[in-house]
Amino acid sequence: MKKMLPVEELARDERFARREITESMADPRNQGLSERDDIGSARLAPDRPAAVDRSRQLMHGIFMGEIQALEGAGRTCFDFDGSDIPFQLKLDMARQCWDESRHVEISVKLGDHMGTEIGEFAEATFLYQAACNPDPVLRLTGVNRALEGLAIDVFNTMKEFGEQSGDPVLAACEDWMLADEVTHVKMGSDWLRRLTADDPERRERALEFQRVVDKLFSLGGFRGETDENPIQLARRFREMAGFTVDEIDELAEVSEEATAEAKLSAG
Amino acid sequence: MIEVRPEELTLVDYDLVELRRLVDEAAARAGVADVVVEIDEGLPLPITGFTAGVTDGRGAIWISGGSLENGRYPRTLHPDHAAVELTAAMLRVADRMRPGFADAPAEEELTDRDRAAWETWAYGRCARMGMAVREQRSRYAMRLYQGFTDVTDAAFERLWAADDLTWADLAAIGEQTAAVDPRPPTKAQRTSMRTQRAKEPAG
Repeated sequence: MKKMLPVEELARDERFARREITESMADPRNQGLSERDDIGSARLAPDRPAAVDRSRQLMHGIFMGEIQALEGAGRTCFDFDGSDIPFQLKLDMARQCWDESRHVEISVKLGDHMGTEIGEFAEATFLYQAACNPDPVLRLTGVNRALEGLAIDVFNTMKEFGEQSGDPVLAACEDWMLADEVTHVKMGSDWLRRLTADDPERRERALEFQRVVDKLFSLGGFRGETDENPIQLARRFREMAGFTVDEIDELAEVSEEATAEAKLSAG
Repeated sequence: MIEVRPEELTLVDYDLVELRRLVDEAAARAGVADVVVEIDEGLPLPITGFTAGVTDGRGAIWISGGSLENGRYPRTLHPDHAAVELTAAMLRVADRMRPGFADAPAEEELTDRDRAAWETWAYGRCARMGMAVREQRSRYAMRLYQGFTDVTDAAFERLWAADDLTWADLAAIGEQTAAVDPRPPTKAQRTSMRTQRAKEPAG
């Protein structure tokens, strides 16, 4: 079996269609959206216009993200041998694969619950792309700190949406998956510390890579702490997952920068 | 006269000939002869929605471009979804022209709860016409705006199968679901987009 699988070779059937992040950013409609005063804030909430399809699309994005997280963790198990990473780390990644598989199944059921078909929306593959780094430590920060960190923010946002809308199915499922994601980030934080205990330069490289990926995940003001951001930064759960307050503050700054850049490019 | 505005779309790649055909077919299904359809092409998926008013006897539909869009291939038309959304909007225009809806609030005054019930009824009629309606999406919308309760689910089934209703029937359903909605009471939400458009005369 091939190691270091590029994103183009991910297995997908005809139900799925992909869209590059560059295509999304170049959509000419982006420019006018920030000037509209009739579409409510971007933050996901039941009292925002078009809450039905906003939540359905986000749920579909979560489903696709779970598939890619499964693929990312699975590749980490397979791409590296015993001289690259400890066996115990592979076991953690295998456990994560099991968790992500369940999340995929739960997300499919939630899609059914909300009336969404598999593949109804285009797949963005940048999550998996962040999981392709050939250095296992950088891979770990890309997947388990940046990607899974984003998952914490997304699940918490969706859980709150379920609570506000009185949807017991959505709220319970998101809460359950959120607990797993906190564990995944904690595994990443712990392994990063252990693997770089004697190599501060490598640790700094890994954290820098994480900053790059985190900025990518905040593009267009997707994540942040204001009503302009669809996904809200989940500070409490990030702290539980091993992020320091300084790291969360730094991520908030990155998100603010991304939101400001999005506004600037929208004119 | 059936009019579609704008005459040119610059932000999306919708085939205007096909779109015009879909509008004409939707109007014919609903029996609407005089209507202006304004397509707001600047709104992408997932920002969907439409308003369906009547001004001086003429129908006035405003619809988000996202309501007509193919989520798999952004900026392109989804003919099936577009056909359903346009037909549902036309049916609501036709409803407003009937005596049983003479006392229905104007579009900008409709609450989310009222709108969900009315749209459910419209989508149900589309389904019975054999159109590719997303029933579970409608059920989710109904639950989101009327509460995740058995009363809402029963109301959904009644609306979905109903042939002839009046505004009073729709309002009564809203009252029944509100009475058992466990969510904290809030002021009536009116979050539909572009409701101001419904106030403005076409042109």
